[in-house]
Amino acid sequence: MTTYACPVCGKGIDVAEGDKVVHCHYCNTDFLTMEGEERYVMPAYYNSSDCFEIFMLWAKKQGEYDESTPLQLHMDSATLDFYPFWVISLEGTTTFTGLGEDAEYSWPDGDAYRQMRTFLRPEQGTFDRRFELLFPAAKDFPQELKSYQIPGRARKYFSTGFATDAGGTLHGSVLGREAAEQLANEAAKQQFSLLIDREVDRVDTRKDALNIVESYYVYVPIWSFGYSFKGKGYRAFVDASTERVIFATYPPDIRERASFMGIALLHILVGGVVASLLYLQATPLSYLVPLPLGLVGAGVAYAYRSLQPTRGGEKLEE
Amino acid sequence: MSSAVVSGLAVKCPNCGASLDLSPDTIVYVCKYCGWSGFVTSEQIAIGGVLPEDVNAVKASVESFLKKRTGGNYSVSEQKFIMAPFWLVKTHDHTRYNGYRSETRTMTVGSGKYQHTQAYTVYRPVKGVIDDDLLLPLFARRHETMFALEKAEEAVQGASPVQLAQDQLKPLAKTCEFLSSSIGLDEASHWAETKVSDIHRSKVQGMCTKVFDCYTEVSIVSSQLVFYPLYSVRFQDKGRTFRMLFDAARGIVLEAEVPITEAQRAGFLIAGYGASAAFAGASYAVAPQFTQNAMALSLVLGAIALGLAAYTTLMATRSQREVGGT
Repeated sequence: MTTYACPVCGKGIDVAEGDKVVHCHYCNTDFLTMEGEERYVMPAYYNSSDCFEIFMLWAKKQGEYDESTPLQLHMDSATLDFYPFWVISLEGTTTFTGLGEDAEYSWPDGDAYRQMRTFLRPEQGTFDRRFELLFPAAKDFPQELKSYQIPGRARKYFSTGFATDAGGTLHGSVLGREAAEQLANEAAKQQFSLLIDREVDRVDTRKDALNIVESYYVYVPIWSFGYSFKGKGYRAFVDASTERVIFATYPPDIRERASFMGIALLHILVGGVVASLLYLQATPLSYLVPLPLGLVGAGVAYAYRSLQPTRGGEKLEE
Repeated sequence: MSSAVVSGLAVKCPNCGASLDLSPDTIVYVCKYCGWSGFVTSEQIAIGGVLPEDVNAVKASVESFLKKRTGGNYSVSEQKFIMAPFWLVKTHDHTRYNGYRSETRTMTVGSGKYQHTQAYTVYRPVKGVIDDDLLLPLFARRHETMFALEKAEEAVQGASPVQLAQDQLKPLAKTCEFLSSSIGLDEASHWAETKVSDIHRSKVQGMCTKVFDCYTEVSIVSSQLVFYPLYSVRFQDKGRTFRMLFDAARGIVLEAEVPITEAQRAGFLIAGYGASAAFAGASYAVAPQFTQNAMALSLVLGAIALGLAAYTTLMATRSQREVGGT
């Protein structure tokens, strides 16, 4: 017996071994377990306290907390979800004919022309590309993680032990292999369309030859935390296989923000008043105006610092 | 633990017989016990690479760097000595392009008191071919990325890899982790073709106002899998974490996040206020000589002072800064 979270409503359903299609009696939909198919998993290398620790350090850095400010975040909830994805690689070629733009030039002016007339002429071309696409297979995949990228690192062949040993929930799928490959084909064709549209204005014939090189189903473990700070609730998602903070909301350092805002207002106010007073003065005193304007500039920078975002994730450099 | 213990790709090293648990993505690996290198299908290949400096020398350089940048109160929370796989793909490329660039010119029309300048547009055809050879580095780990990967790829691009024999690999496999390659030759070639097309296209777009055509043909001259030594460090200073990537072949920091010291913050602030004062002084001294546009000149100088002060203040209030190449 394995428990799968329904990929639509998220409720847990007990599934007998080998059952491929399951009916969720909570939301009255059918979903897939992908049992019996070749499945992979990213192991949850880091437990909840590792991940929360890393998250706190990260939040502290984001919030620009001072060393002296103890950051007392209280973890209210921690759940580990194994969300399924399809990873599909395809190679393809597109060959097209159509009408593309060209130009005629007249009325020479030095080494250039004063007049140009564009016209359409027959054009043909070919593009070869390889695509790697990622599709979440569960519908209950959190909205905040939409731009999630699998961070790599040693996937393994799947066994339910990976989820149960780590105390995680396996999620079912709403996307079978065929449907996923269909999506991949469409996405690849769309990419080709973008390439073709750059070259021709009108497409007359087009032939796509797409070949799926590899497609696999993989579970990715994600810790989702609810935590509170000074009575307010926040959320954080941390990748359990790499410890990366994927997305979080975090409290700003109120003291630092307030002081930055205070300094900002002071600069802008003093700078602005002095600048306008100087400007109204007779010359040559009014020529000193760059000094108060410099204060305004510094004030703008302080204001920017005090308005830093309170949500975001760790960047993956690419 | 239940049944889930060994679930990777189980491979027996064809040379020493050791059992290895690799990722199912693995295509090429180095045995961590005997230094044998080859495909997961047991076919041996000679691998290219760059040898690292002595481990202790690397650690000492990293330590002295961190000491200098933090004032000595840091603690290292994670450190990894890796041999990272990269594909070095050499391509021969041919791109044909067609487009135009528009420019604005001025001419003088009329005569006497009706004389004035008029702006008009000219078009310059931009048409030709680009023929070049490129050497492209690609991190051979699917989907994977790491801090300062771009800098590491640059380092690999400029390296001169040599063939590494098994007796060189064996001691190395003990001190650092050989990351296996999960990207094969075909995928690397395809990636290189796309990359070249993108590079050429952006070059052409830089030359043109509008691009009509840009077609690139790429032929792969050679591809080599190269292992490059990197030392990646995460350290803490005053309760914040910072990352760093060290080039263990050349003994330099590729990129590091370092804390900003109070002296640096003060320096930036003083520079900002100082610049504003200097601009005010300059304006006071010089403006009276431009009788017609004196106030306008002051305001322009003021705008520059405003921008400079905003910049230096932003620099002074950053939480960290990036350094590299030292």
